[in-house]
Amino acid sequence: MDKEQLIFDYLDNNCSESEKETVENLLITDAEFKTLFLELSAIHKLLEDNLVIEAPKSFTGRVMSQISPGLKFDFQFSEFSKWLAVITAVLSLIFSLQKLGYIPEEYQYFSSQILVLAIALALVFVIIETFMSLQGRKNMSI
Amino acid sequence: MRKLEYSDEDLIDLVISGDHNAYRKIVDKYKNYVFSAVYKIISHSEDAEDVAQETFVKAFRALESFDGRSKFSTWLYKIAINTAISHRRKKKFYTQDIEEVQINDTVSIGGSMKQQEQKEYLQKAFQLLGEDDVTMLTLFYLKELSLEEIAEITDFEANNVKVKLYRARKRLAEKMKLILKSEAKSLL
Repeated sequence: MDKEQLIFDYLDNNCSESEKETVENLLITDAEFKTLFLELSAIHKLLEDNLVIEAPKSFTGRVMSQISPGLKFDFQFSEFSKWLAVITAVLSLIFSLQKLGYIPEEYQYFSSQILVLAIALALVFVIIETFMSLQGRKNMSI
Repeated sequence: MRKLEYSDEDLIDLVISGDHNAYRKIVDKYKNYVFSAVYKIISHSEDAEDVAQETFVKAFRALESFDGRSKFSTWLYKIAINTAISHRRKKKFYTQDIEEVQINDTVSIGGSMKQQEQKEYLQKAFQLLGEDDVTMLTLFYLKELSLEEIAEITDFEANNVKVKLYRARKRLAEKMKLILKSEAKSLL
């Protein structure tokens, strides 16, 4: 068996005890073999560590929309954006209730301006995330 | 009580019985592997995404013909590899020469490459390899498929797969050396 095949079998955990011993002995006694071993094990590790690439965030949604156009488009928001959306909804509700006069003045802890500002800020964050998510496909790294 | 973990077989049964949403779980489980395998063959991210999506759509449409003789993942990878290879041939993504492979960043040969650089150099080396080499390496390292499973996906004999895999790794090592050497030269 040639040296490279022996090394690959060793790296794959696919060699007999005697072959394993041969590799380990050669690593001590043969400098050229050791260099080759280090090169091939570096390639082996590189492949093990770097082959899986994450699919784009909205991949599943796009597949689902192709197989069942009736299914809702699956847009994936982060947890942060989900909470922002909840907070925005609550603030909007408070704002509407205040405006409609359902909340007595002594219980109006936030001025209308602050509420509008908070709602606007939260919406901006949600819009930015939506935009970044849509851009994700184009800017995907290797 | 609601079942938390579904096997591939459970999910396939659900999809066949009309619960299309169950297919979402299948896509989520395999999307990174399918996308990575396709990307390694095509080397173009937007095309790879389209082909990976096409793979899942094809698998969905052919799901009833899946007979369970092989693992679902093996069957799915076979669709992915065949779709990617036919796309590569159609688009004429030929193997490139070392001169054509552009490398923008510098690299240290002493083994301290950052993860992104490593991925980039590996992808460049893949671009220099032939179709069979890329397929062998991708399948072997992507999800630790056995040689028998790789043989089933690629339609090669299992013994042949071992030889092809060995040659592919050897050629990849040569291409990596070539790329790093040419990069080192350009720094001088």
